[in-house]
Amino acid sequence: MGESTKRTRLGEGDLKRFIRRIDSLPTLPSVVARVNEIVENPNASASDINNAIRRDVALSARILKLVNSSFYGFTRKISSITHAVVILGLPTVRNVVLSAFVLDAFSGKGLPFGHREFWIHSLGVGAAANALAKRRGLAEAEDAFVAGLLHDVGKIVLHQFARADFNDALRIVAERDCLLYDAEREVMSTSHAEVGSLLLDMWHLPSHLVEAVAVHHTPDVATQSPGLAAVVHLADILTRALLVGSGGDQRIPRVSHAAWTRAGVAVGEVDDLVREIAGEVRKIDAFVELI
Amino acid sequence: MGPEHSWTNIPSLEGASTHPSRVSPAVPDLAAEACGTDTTLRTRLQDVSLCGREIMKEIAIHAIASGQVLAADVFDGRGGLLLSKGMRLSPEHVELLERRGVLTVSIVDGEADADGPPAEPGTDDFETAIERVDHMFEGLDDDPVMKAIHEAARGMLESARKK
Repeated sequence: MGESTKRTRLGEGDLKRFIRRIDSLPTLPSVVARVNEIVENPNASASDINNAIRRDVALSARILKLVNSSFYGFTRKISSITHAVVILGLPTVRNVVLSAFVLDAFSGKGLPFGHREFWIHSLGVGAAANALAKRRGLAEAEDAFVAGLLHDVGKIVLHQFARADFNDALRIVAERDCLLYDAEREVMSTSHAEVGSLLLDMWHLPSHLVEAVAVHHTPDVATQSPGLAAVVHLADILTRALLVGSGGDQRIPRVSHAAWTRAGVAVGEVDDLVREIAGEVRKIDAFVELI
Repeated sequence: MGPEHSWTNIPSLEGASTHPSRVSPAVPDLAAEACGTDTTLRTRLQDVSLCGREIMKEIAIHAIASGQVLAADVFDGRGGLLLSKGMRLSPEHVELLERRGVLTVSIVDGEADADGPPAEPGTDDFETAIERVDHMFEGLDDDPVMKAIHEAARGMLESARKK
């Protein structure tokens, strides 16, 4: 279980076969795509973002709820998108916009192991990855939350677009009590990790973020941001150990020692780290209300 | 969500550190410390609403025993709700699921007792959570890092249980 593989590039071999089997992958709504474009533009301003978002009242409200949650820890209320951008910065607001969209639109209802448990696990990994990245002083700490939140989105894609294969994998999990990741690879020679990263790549998310999702079970092969891949990998494991939500199976992946080292944690620090992560995970309560 | 959430009406979440976590039985430990000896809060902390997963298991339709309780909603292929979480499964329910092509369901583990109300997956006990953690790490404790994580997680549950 948890063997390292070299399969990380999108569009190679097995994934091409899978893509041919599905008609279309979900696209980002224009407002979220626009926000993404704006953030990638070095000349972007808070009012650009505000203009992109403000007509979508429901999305705006959801964003404000998130930025005012204990997750971000501001004592004064943030009352407008512009204000949010000024206080939090563009990358964070982009991540919040994405989170708000994904939690609402991509709810994965009907997932056999419970969509609510799925999103709680995903939010937990987001919170844990964010904490680990900050702890390590990673440059891409902002993206760690989104990478964590979206690390398992491939399961929703598989459930929606490759239902029979996905159910076969779930059956194997039920029969053999193994990791869903391993069952998926047995059934379809790919996994939710690669499939999810394909979706995020289509959404034009930053490539190091796409990579972190693609390799969250095999972080050693990361080339763009081994640090980000390591924290998402570790965050997944710690979140499972803390029984936060469900990944669709009852097992836990074996940690990559290289990733562990890269995340900068000594074995003697594990106890403190686990307690610290548990504290971070508690902050996702506000996000849970949006599921 | 919906129209009642206006821009000026987002509730403040200051003081959220005393709010009990709903996301895991392993997590209340920190909140319990923050809340001291507030017994009402401690009771709420044990009423973990979302971690019925500890006593849920995924089974194939053909393996359903009469009287087992659904631990999660069951949907058909188009996202329509077929059966709700908490329903006690009868042979007729199983037939319905077969007809609609459902392959597996989540049931509350070990709750085939026909007497009394269906077990509420949310009011879970720490024993089951500890068992679940131990099961998760089976065969992995040879790895010092996995072992340390296992012990840390178990430790948090055990101290939460004592409170």
